[in-house]
Amino acid sequence: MSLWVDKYRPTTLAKLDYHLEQAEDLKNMVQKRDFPHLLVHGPPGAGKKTRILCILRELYGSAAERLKVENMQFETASKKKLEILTISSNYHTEVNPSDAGIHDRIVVMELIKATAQTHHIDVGQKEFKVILLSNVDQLTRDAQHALRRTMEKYISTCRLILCANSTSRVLPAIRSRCVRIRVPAPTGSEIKNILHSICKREGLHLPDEFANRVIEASGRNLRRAILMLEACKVEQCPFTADQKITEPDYQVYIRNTANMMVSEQSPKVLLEVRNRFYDLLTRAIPCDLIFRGLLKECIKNCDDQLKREIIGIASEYQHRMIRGSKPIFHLEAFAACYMAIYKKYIESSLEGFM
Amino acid sequence: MADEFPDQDDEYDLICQADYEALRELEADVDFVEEPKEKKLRWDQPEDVIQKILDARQLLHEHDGDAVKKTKCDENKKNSISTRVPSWNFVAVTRLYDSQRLYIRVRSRQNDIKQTKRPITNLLSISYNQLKAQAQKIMSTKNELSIQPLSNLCDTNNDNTINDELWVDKYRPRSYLELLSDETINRQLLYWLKLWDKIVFNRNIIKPKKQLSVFGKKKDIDEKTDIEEVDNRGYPIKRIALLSGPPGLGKTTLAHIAARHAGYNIVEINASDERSPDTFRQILLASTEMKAVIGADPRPNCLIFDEIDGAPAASIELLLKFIQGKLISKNKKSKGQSEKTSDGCIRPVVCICNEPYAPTLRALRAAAIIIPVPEVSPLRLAERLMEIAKKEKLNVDFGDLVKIAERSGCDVRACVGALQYMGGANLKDNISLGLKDTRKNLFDSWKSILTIPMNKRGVITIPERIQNILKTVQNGESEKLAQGIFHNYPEICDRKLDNVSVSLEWFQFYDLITSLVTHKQVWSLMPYTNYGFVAWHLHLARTQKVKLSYPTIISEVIQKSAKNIGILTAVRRACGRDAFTLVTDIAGFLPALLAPKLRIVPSHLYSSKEKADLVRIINVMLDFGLSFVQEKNPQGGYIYNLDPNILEVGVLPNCNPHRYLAYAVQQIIAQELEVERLKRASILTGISGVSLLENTTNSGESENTKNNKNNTKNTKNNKDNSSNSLNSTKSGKNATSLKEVVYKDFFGNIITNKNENKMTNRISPKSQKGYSLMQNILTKHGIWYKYKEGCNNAVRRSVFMEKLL
Repeated sequence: MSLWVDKYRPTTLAKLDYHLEQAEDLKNMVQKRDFPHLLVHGPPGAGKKTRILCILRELYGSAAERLKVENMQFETASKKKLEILTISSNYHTEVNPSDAGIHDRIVVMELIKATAQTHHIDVGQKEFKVILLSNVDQLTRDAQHALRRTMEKYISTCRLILCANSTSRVLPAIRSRCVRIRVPAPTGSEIKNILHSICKREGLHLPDEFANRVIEASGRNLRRAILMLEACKVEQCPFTADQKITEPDYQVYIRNTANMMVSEQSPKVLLEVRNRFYDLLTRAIPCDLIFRGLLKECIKNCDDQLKREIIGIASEYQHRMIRGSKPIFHLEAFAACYMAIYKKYIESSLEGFM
Repeated sequence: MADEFPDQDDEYDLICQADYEALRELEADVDFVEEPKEKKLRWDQPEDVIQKILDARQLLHEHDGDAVKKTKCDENKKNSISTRVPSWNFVAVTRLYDSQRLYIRVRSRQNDIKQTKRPITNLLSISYNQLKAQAQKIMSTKNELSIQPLSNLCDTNNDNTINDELWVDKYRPRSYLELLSDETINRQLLYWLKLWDKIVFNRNIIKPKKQLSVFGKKKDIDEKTDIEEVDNRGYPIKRIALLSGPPGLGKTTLAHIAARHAGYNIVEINASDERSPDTFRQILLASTEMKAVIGADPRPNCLIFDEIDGAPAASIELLLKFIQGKLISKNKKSKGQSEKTSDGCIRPVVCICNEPYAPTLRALRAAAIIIPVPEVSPLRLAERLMEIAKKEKLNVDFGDLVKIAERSGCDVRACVGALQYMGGANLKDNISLGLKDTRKNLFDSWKSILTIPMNKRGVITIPERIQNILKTVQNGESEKLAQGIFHNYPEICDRKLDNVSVSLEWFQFYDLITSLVTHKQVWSLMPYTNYGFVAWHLHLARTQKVKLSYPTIISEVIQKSAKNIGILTAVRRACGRDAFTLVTDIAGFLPALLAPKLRIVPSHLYSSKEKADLVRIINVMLDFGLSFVQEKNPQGGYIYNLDPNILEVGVLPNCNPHRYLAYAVQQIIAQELEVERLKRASILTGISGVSLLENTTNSGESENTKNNKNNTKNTKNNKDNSSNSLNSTKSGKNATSLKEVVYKDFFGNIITNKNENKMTNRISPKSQKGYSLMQNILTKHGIWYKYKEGCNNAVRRSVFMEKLL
């Protein structure tokens, strides 16, 4: 593992850099030999996965770090074959059931049953195995309902660690069966400490100003901050305070799209904007990120009244997008609606000016 | 028996042939005598020809109307059928119901044909075809005549019983001139069929000479005028014709008649036949490569695939492969087909479908010449119906027939069916019976949604328009319709953004409902989607004519995202992260991370920082399972691409300026990457220890350099080689550096320009150690090698793979 993100990832609970109190609690929990189901949630890049891996290591020792990647096959009721990528050690299995789309229920059921029906034979180890389900908030309701009962039924042989960005889309029934662990995003100063320590170990000097700018651009996402730092290092090695910060392309692209919408309002622009949306969607950029990026840029030069209106529309449209299945309709609807409102706003303000 | 009496059919054929020969001479005379000055019509002036044919058709109809033919036929009957063996030329026929042998006269048709021919003289550049069509027609009427007494008998017995033959079949056009469909379309298909003449009829030696010669004449004109439609081997460039159009317009009839007209025997495969790929292949091979030898019809086959839009996709692929794979089949790539067939598909294939945009036909569309069959004009259809009615002695009003034609959407089959069903009794009251479940094609539906319909008094009222739209969208393809509208509206809508945003809200509504339906099966909500179309019509429609295009972008998007997801899955398999982090964080930074600043110099000249960069990039690439693959770019040069190309996911057009590695640097990385990968693989398998690894990497590397050296070696003279080759290695013998010693002794060469050759030098500090290790091995064991002239493998010994790592 050669990226800084992997290289300097803490491997035990003791080595964690922030949320130390929580780390202590987790350690106690593991040592008490009474390990409940966990629901770890928090924004991306806050360190959920790192903590989960630390817990696993604490549970099973370094054996949990020997990972193998394999494809598991499932068959739906309609004989459709599904292949799901799983990462597993002898003691745990990690899977992202939402890869299976609407068939995730099958994956959840089959996987838990298959894992829970066997004991492992190592004597010194814990008597249960762990299944790590990531992106639980993207599971369909069916899958979550299926999870509910199996969680209780197989508790003697199998514990679940659920990992989600937000709990709002996790059923209350599941929430109540888990111990919830919230991993908040690290604060700016915490990120700064980590960046500094990485630079120190790499033998580089990190100007304070530059660190602040990286943190600003990363939006308190530690993973992104570290990657950004490394990308900047590749770009220009001894860091300078005013050097350019490498941003992911898609952010720039979304920003440019929003600027197009601000600068001209016509069906022609709408068509161009649509093609750009298609570009983003084909690259599997999550559509709520697109929405958020657009909104952030669009409301920059609006007055408060307009801001409220647009944010209201955006949230409603995004809600519809999540319930629907074709994001392009909703994205374009927002773009058109914004253009219509903004055009009216500009025209009225011009009249007032005259 | 068979030996004693020559086959009757054959005899008949011969007679006919003789007749035709005579006819042609006569015709030439007639041409000359009657219209010596008139310009001969050419194939390349379709309008004139079409006009002529239309005139001729008119004449023909009048002809029929006068019932001249009927009387003539009656007259013919008298002296052309006999129960005894007559003295004139005859064909023997056995009557079905009483096994009575009848002898039908085969007359020289000069008289008949002269009469019927006169109005249509010189229609085509080859008048022979028409004559033949006429001849066929007369033959068929004659055949009918022989059956006629039977049916007449029945009819007289009980006049009310309806003949159980469907009128649709009874009045199906039997010759080219009777075709009802648009003349340009007919000619287009016929012309395409004619393009095959060279291939089909030149190849067929068994073919009767008369046809060959006639078509030969025709072919000359073709080649002169339309070279571009035939490739250099004489094949038409588009080897399939695809007839498309709504049901009941006579596509099948057209295909049959045109094929027969062009001199083919028809092999038809339709939805009622088995169409699995295996049977498909059998039929394809059987019908295109063989011909009937024994049967009465010695003509080559023409394949007609009816209702192809219902065939399984695999079969259509097979058909395409058959057509295209044959183009390059000189190398006999095609599976399991005999070598005789390697000349390609040598028979025309006509496909018929209703909806050319069916997804299974996408590939076929590209390879075929698409001939859309348009609707027949209601008036013309009504005329034909009138004709039928007259023949069936029905008393109908022409206006009603026109109405029926309009109501059925000019569906010929439906009209004739309706006519037969109602028997003309009370056509006026039951006119709605002619109405069938019409299915407009997609473009028509889009057009009707996106344009405001007008009539004589101006714009139609809104309630009426809403009714129209609801009727249009009722046929169930709302998904495609909505896609098309979404795709097309920005081109046509005016500058009012309010309307656009309102109609986009309807798109959201539509999406919500369809997802409820598909995910939760709440079908009761389905009807509400139709109102979306009303809203779109009201908000987006314009009065001007709109230009519509097919929403191909949807399938492009699906393809592209499937490709990108494939890339992501491949990367995930290597690095084990979830897709979200890959897309949002890592893919975005990889372009920057994978492009360190490396100079374009051999890697051993790199500074320590650059070396560290190189090691880092290699490690990163290994972590994510990436590698460089060499590909040829369109300009002919070579480029390295990432595989799987995650940059396609991470890089968007016109965003950040990205630095890309130079080709030479990529080459270095690619080589190092391979070495590193093999090294890791061997560590995993645990075959070789670290110490072995170190010195074997060097030997592997020197293997690389060997290739470079080999070139220089040949230029060395023999003395040099022999003097050096017999020396065993002594490290301190030469005053050159350590490395040089190794190279020189290993290959038995004196290497002068070393620096140029050492592109692939190791960059890690380990290499120095490795060289000394290597040297130890060499001094300890010694290597024997001898020079062989003409063979540049100076050293031969068996080497295990692990040693090269």
